[in-house]
Amino acid sequence: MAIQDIRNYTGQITQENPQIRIRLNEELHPRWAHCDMISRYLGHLTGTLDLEKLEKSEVAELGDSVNYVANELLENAIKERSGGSIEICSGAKGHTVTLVVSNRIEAAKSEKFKASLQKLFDGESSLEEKFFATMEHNEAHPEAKVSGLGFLTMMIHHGADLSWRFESGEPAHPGRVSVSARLTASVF
Amino acid sequence: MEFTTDNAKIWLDTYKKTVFLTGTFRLSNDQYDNMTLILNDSLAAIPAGLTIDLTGLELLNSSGINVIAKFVIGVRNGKGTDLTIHGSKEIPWQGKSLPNLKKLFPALNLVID
Repeated sequence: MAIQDIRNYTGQITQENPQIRIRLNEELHPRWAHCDMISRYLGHLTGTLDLEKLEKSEVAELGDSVNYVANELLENAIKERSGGSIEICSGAKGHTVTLVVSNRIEAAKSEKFKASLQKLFDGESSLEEKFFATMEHNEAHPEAKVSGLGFLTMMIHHGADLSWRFESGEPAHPGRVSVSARLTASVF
Repeated sequence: MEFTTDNAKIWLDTYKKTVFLTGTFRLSNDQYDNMTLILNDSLAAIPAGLTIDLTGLELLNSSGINVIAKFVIGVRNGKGTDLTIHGSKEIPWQGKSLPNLKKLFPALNLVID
């Protein structure tokens, strides 16, 4: 995947007709504890989505991935948000669950985010090589403030097909970033 | 030697030479210092034959995976320490994530049952 896909992938983001839509409004003061609560809830609800027939164990495994990925996306949203609401949508088709998390983001943070994605997908190394290189780097640099493992673990451990949409804003009105994760039972 | 949150606990059982992690660790990166401290202190107390028991660890976020991975790399770089990580087949994320620790440190004794 290359950086241009981040823009081209927008067609796959499906916020229009989700089966579940949760909005954390500014008045709630969205915070870290909400991530775990909501992602567990979404994980538990996986079996009630409009999925094609799966074995009970497959639903449980898919729910575990929904729980993990939703938590990671919400943690990112809490860290990166510039006020306003955080919205998380979930829906299913076939054997795939799609999660979309969106939040407001300032222009400077948005550019930094895009640069980190560029780094994630650039170069010759595979995602797995980058995953191990990141862990080695983190051990050698314990002062690092971020692990850099979130998207890598979503993709490598949970088979998440990720895409991003950035909507530009104005100085007084930050833009918005939406991150989509597609999780398919058959990839396990 | 222990650290507890609302949802999780980590402690060293010196008699069993085992660090137990239970519950859900979904802290922010800078909140994991206590876990790192307990792991490192446990290794200092039991430099050979230490076990990290994750069979009660239901959920761990990527920042927590980072802490465990850094610890394993640190043990590997120290050379010669006999380290065991014990996971559970009943907890789906462990089957997906823990085998990578073995790739980081091939001498690691990884048990998932």
